[in-house]
Amino acid sequence: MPNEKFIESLSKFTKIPKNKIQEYLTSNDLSNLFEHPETMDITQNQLKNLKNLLKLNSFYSRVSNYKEYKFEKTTDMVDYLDSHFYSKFDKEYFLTAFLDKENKLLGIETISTGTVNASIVHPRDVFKQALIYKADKIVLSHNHPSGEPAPSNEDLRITERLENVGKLFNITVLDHIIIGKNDYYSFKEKGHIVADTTIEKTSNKFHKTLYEKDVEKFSSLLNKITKIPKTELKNILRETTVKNFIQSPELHLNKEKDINSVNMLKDISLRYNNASYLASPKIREPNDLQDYVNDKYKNMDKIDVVMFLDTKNKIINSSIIPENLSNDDKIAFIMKNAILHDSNSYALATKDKSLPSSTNIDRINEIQDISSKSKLVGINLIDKIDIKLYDGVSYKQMNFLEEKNHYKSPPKKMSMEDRFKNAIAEADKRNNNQEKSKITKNKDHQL
Amino acid sequence: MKYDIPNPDQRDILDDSSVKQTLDIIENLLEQKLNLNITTESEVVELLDYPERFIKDKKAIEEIRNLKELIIEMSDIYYA
Repeated sequence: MPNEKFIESLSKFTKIPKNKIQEYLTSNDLSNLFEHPETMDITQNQLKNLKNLLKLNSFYSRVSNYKEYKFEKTTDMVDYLDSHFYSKFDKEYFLTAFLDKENKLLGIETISTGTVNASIVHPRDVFKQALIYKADKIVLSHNHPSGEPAPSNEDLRITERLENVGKLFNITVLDHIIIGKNDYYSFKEKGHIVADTTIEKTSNKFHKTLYEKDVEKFSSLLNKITKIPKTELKNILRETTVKNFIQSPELHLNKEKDINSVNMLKDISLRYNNASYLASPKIREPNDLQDYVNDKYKNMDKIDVVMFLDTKNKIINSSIIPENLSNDDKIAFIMKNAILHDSNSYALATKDKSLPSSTNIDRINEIQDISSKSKLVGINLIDKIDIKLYDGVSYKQMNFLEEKNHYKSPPKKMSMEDRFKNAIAEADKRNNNQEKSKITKNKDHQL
Repeated sequence: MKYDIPNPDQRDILDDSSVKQTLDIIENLLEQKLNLNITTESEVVELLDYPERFIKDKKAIEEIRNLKELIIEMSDIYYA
């Protein structure tokens, strides 16, 4: 007979009267109750509560058992994945397991669900989660509802693509495992993937360096605004993202005063983000990019900027690209931010008075390399512009970028003079003499 | 190497979209809305292990601790 406290607790959460449980246990044992809850004469609601407890117990056992587990061989992972696909043979599910440098499980996510014989997976969705988990390694997996685990040509293609995208972020694709009904197919075992599965001592340099920089930068900024001690902020930001912290400060802070100051910041930033998104231009031609950079970064003489666009070609956000990054680190920086902003295309701009008047072959090669690698991730570079004083050169207009990378509407070439003429005509239309004379003055000054 | 996984015939695996479903179960058992922003399975386990990290209500924290204690004891019986 289980102890009194256990029965009391069971009664409390299931609403089954204590004496009823005790009576049942005189001729049955508890495992019988858990395996066949219907054998007890209880109400539908009590039965539901009991089944819910069993589900919770099963969930907790499954997730916490693997929480500290190190995956050392394919069969370890197959056993683990098998438990995830147990009730999922109605259609294809694409899951990814995220591991740290020691092959320890950080988490597992369903990336996409598909039809009965195909799941569609976008590299952006796989690597967004990998970046959020700060994973060093990932294991891809999907099921074949037919029960036959042999890979299709599409399975081979997507594996190769995801492996190559992983290289951009220094995230190793350890394996891709297809789960069939009684069998599995491991790309690693069959030699399609040759990643080194040994447990490593050092974690991903990419996460570490960029992440530490972010922690330093954001803890200083937040400290200035909220007055929360920088050390406390640093500790919080090492555990969670800035976004999550600002969204739910009560999960990380104890003092009400601190929580209120972050909530105020959240309110301001929400208003700012909504307003700036509404005000952000639709990028239809190179001039729009040039105007945006000249306006937003008017006090800066020499910068590299990346602008992230949504499906309507509106700018979601823009970032200054850190100086002195190698081309690979620059691509990783751009892709990481594009993925985290849920952007599907982006534009680059260099603003520099001392840029040479003609674009040299090294710069063209660099941009073409960035463009082709980001295409692997499924995020397109629509244009790169070099801005020297007020005039910009568009790589797209110069045909240095592929035809496929397009603006939503065909790019129009408009001279500086025509743009001033249009602005004056617009001001005229609105009868705004003050604006008109300001534009005319600017025109005389610049042309 | 042997894992502590329930017998395939007995296990009741929730599918992955079930983070919300599991939270609903917890809320139903506690008869209390928790209004938590939890999105991953690990966070659900963390909620059961360290409820004080997610909620302030002392009574609810105590209830979650009791619930966790119960499911741990159930495991000992269920999978013994």
